Formats: sequence, structure tokens, C-alpha cells
Amino acid sequence: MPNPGTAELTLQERGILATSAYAAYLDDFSSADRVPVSAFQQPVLVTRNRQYYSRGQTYTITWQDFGQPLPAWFDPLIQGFVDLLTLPPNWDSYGAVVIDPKVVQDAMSFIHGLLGPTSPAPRVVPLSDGGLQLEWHRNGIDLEIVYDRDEAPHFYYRKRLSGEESEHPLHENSPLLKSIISSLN
Amino acid sequence: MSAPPFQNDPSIPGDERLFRRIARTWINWDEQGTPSISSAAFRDPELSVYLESVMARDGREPEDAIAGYSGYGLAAITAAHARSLNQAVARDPLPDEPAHGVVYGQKKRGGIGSKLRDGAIWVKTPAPA
Repeated sequence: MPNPGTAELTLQERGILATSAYAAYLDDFSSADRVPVSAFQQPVLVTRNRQYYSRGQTYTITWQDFGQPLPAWFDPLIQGFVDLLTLPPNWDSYGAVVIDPKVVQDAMSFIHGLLGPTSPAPRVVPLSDGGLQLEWHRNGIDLEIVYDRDEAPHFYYRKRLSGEESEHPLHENSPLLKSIISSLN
Repeated sequence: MSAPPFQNDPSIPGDERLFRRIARTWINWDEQGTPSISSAAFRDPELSVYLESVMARDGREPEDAIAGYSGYGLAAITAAHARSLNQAVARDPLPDEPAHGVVYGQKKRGGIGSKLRDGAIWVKTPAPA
């Protein structure tokens, strides 16, 4: 239970931006994004912190990387997740439960491994059952990654003009999802 | 096999408007300030709504559904639209809300939530955040 008014999202306590996110940064940032180093300069891992505020609570996000610039999606995405964690019970006025922190953690870990440096940020939207969904509505495409609380996550994709649509289990179809996200730019 | 908790009620006409409160977290404002609704607002298998005809019978305006709910918007879909997506539309009057109804059916797969949202219109848009 976080202390009133403040909370931490750390690698140790909640696993957010944990090893998978660190690995994602290695993958996502192309050589052009990295600072050239000579044979005498090795990239050094640094621990970074960033604070986010939501409904009177402060969340500190801690992760490790090489000090590279953060992608444009980073702050809106993390703020979206933090805003879900502070929703009170019955936030939809129809009896919604609070958002499950484990669902938030799972979604954060997955999406950080998927987005590239120039990917558009998804909207982070709560579900009444305590889950969440990530949404993009761009370039005539609707894309939703859905984490229902007690079901395997999936994504739904639709081209608005043609009505073509499909639905897929999330983890088995990451390459397809990644290609759809790249088409949103 | 047990019967579903709600059966489609044919006494509810297809053009009956079904009102649903829309929480601020389900609304996205674009660059022009136009609010759009997330499909998340329409994914509950037992989706609570207000039946317009019952509210009107009791002399109530649609906006009464969001009275006391600061920051909420009010959207409407029709019963015909819900039924076209294999949903049952039923009356479910509550002691403190005689106009309460339910749009009952599976909405978590097949983009049903998105398609319900596509048929929604704003009755009362919320003020931008």
C-alpha cells in the first residue's frame, strides 16, 4: 500500500521498467540515436528517476539506460499509467473496480518492448473490470490492445474505410502488432 | 444451462434512445477540441443505460442522468443499434432509478465495444479537462 501522497514504482518493488524495458531500449534506439563512443569510451548504464503526479500522489519511476534522450511517447504513456493507478473505486459511476497494478505492470513492460523511438503514444484507458486498454486512432486505423483483468490480452485492429478488421492474442503476434504500430506514423 | 440474466425486451422499440454516462477517463479531445469516446465505455457485458421513454414518462430530461456527476458526458445509442450487434436490450428498473436498463451480451471480443461506440452520439458533451 503506497504511503498517502506518494508512491514509488521501482524495479525492486513493482518491476515496472524492469529488465525487459532495459532490453527494449537497447533494441529500440538505433545507432543514429546513440552517442558515438571511441574505443576508450564505453557506454555506461545509469540509473534514472522521473516523477509523475496524479490526484495528489507522487510516483517515482526508476529505470536504467545509457542516458539517451527519452522518446516523445515516454511521458504521456507513463502519465497515462500513473493516472490509472490513482483512480478511486467506482470511477465510472457504474461500480468499476480499481485498476489492478499487476495489469499496469504487465502492460508497461510489454509496450516498452514494442514501441520504437518515433512511435506515436497510445492513449491509456481504464476498463471497468480493473483492466486497461491502449488505443491508437490514427491514419484511418483503430488499434486497441486490451488487458481485461482475468483474460489473456489481445489486440483488435480495424481499417475504418474498408471495415477490414482482425483480432489476435497479444503475445503470439508481436511482429504483426509492431508492423501495425509502425504504419500509424 | 441456465437462462441469461436478461432477455431482449421487444416492447422497447428500435428507436428508443439508451443513455450512458461517459467518464472523463473515457474521453479523448483532439487538437480541435472535439471529444471522442473510447470503446472502453461500451465493453461491460451488463451495460447500464437509461431508457429515454421512461425518463420522459416521468417528466425527466436526458441530462438528469448526469445530474450530480460533475465532469461526466452523456451519450446515446439506439436499441436497434445494440440489437444489430447481437445484444439484448432489457428493462431493469432499480428502486432509485426506474429508467435503468441493460444492454446485455458479449462485448469483449469481435470489436463489439468499438462498434457500439461508433453508433453513439453525444447528448451532453463534457467540458474539456
